[in-house]
Amino acid sequence: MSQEMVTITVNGRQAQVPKGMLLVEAAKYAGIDIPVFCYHPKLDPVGVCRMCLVEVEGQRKPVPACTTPVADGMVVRTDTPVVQRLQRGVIEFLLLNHPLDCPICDKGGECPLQDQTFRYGPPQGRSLDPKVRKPKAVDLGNFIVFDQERCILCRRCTRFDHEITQEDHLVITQRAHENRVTTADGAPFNSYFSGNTIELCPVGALTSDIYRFKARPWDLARVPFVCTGCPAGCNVYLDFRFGELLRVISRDNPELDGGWLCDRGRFNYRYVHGEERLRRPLVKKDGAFVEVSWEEAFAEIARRLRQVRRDRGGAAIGAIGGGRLTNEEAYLFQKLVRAVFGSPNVDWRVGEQYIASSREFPGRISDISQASGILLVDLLPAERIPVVDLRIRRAAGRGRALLAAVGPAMPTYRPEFKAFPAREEEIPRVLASEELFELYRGRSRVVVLWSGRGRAVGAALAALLRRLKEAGSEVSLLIAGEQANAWGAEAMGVHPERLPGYAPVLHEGARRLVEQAWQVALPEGAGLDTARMLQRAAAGRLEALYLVSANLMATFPDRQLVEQALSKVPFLVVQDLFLTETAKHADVVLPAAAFPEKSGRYTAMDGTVQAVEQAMEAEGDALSDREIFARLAQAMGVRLYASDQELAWEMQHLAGAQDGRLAAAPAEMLAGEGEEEPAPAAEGEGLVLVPVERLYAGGGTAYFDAEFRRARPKAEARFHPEDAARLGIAAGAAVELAAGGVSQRYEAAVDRSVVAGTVQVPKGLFEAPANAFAKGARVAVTVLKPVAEEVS
Amino acid sequence: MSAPAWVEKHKEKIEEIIARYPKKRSALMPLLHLAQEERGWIADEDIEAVAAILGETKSVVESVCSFYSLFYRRPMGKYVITVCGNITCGLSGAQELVDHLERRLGIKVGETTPDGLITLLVTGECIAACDGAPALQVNLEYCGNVTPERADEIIELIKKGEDPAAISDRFGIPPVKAV
Repeated sequence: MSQEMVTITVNGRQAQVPKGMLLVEAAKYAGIDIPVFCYHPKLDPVGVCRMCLVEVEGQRKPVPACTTPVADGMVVRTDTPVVQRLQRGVIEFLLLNHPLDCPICDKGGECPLQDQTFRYGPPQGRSLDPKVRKPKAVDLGNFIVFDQERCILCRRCTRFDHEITQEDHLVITQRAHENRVTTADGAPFNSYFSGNTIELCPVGALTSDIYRFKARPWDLARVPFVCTGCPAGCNVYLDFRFGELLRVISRDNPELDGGWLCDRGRFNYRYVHGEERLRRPLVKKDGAFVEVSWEEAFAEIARRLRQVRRDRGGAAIGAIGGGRLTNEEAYLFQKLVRAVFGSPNVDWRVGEQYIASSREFPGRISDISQASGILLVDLLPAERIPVVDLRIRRAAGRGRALLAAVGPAMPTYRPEFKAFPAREEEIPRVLASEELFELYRGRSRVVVLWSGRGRAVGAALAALLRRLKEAGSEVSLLIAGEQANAWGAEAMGVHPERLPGYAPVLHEGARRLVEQAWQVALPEGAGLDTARMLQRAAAGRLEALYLVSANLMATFPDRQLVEQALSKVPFLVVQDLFLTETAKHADVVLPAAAFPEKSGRYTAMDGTVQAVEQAMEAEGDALSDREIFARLAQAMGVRLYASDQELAWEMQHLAGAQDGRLAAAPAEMLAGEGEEEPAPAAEGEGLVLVPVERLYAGGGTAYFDAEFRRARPKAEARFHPEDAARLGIAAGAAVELAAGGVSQRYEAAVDRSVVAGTVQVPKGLFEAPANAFAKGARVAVTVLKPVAEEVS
Repeated sequence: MSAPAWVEKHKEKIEEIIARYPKKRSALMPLLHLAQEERGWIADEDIEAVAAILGETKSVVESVCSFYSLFYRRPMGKYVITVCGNITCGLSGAQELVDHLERRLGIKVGETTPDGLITLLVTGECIAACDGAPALQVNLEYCGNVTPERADEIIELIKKGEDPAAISDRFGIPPVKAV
């Protein structure tokens, strides 16, 4: 569809521009820049700052370019004495009470107010009165410090909070010179997206608590990068000063992030330099960790693994992890395990997700914005893939897309959505229902987002999507991985039943292809998946376990099994950034490089492959995972790859194209390949425990970050109001949840979005590990300390 | 916190107000008026109740509420005397009037008499009664050409429990005759 074009003239220059475009944008086609403060291309125009006033021939008075759509033949002037006088006037007005503390302002040097004063402002203000003083360091929330004096009331922050996140925390109160940006009765502005307001702010009013007063912008060295926090694949810039990572800001990629970042991606970066980073390899001697050289660590691992291989065979070794690695590292990981350890047991899966992609129903993250139907299955997008959730909110909020959610926990949205509460084992039945099919039937473009949990869910989803496809819908399935590069790990063959490129591990032809490329015989048979490796280890039938960026104690659904396996396995190697709960069990701990310290490719949840280049030197002696794999192989007498070119060729040969979009998993993997179903929850008394993801939880980067840790969720159990009333639980009460000999303390919260009959607790907390309870457990609730009713 | 009494008491009225508008959000101001009629001012629990009724956040309700100086966010006296402090009244002796009222009532601007009868306010905005400057409002009823003597008479009527509309009838601003 070609857009209708009109001709306009700006300052004597003609340009063809799309009809209806706002003048402020259209002027750019003529090469003319119109100054703005309140206008922002990603927000609806409001025309409150008056900086963009221009003269349009035939109009009695100047018009704001940000709210005026172009018409054919429009003749515009942005450089007349009248316009210049208005621009000087607006700037003089904005500076009346602006403190001009630019020398100590974070924004100084990258500030629109500074730059536009320089270009359009009057040489001097005329006011003789002292400036109005206001609070200069208002804590707005976890990460935002607000300088009220600097604010020019452009409303970009409040509009973002209203239009984009639809959360309406930030508003303007009072009027005239008393106007200020605030939240109701000073409640904290703890949106998952609060940091975007810092970037939107055209002055230095909204600042990052972590970056505040740390650098001058012109001293920063900027490196384009990709956020590795989740599989949304948001694009970022990393800002360094003298090699220290000081700031993460967005690098607009319209196909993925749309120019936004979540606060975890934006503010959870100081751990990179943190005290708690592992900086030297550790070997456990007499029960205590001792720092050793890499040579010693590699020699120890090589000695032990060779011994296992000789005495018990390679299959007595297990290897888990890969979802946090780059594609190259994931490839080398499985090659190390198969070709060097001689074990078929390698699996990227560390939690409940069993699949990362779907070839049958391809889709892109950007499809959500065009969708006419969106279905969320067993997924809270805000907690796992927050920036993708902004697309969902927009699509549903503008009334374009029907939105429904199926699962044990419901998301919270401002726009109406259809809720289908269902315990995990009930989800397949809901997906197979006529009601759900009818809801989406005939919708031209249906996008399903799913957690990738439960093989029976996968099979039911496939059936539903096929029906919708046959009924004429364009259908996409996006699987939101628990880890950032789950797709890459799966595609690179970090899978007990799949070689690189998803080739079945038992397929003769596929095996030959790999064997020829590697010049080595593959270990026989299919490998054990994560659960089976752990079961074997717990039963004393696995001799060694190698965990790579896999904090199973926090992520695997059965904590007891992990604990037994880790205590029982005779030799445990853990490769990670921190001495996690899991790493504490290890015999050898290998310090891995953090995301800015390594190069490689990451795969977003729609298959988009993005390459990054190492941005900083690794802390201490930490090495990239790629280098660790190569050097460990070397210590075992094998060269893992000869050169980067050879590695690239090999990956291309076995796993397909490595740029653009990575191939997705074939249809039969979605159906689950006949593996067992999760056991249904025991019927009976008590509320069903539903562990839910929380964006700031987790035992890794969120915990080991001294400046982010404060935002971690507390151990809070959320009840439906009816259950709370029935059990006599008030918000804030101390409660104990107990089942199967496990009991944990929580602070109670009452929340209408909780499904009645369930109680929600956060996953991934040390102080109350939800995975200590059996999956789907029904818990007995005891009130330990009721909180007195508020005195009104 | 449980909902304030007016929510239950005016259940039907609330529904009727909401039904007037194509968008629920538009009922925000009428509901605030309702809350203020009941309590005489708007408490935090009223803000919360309006937010809950409309499905908005407290921030949004607070934002609108704080824009209007006639929504009171703290307890007020039974009668609120609001003196216009804008330019016409200012030039016509509003400051002297305020000084007089402060002395007479024994309170400062913004305060309420200890018996809870009268709150004295000065508005920065013009109350659109320049023809009667200096002007004031008793609750929302206008009184014009308020000299200190007339102010004393107004206070006497208030103390007798006179209706503000009746006070306005006596001390109001005479209509401007057509020329």
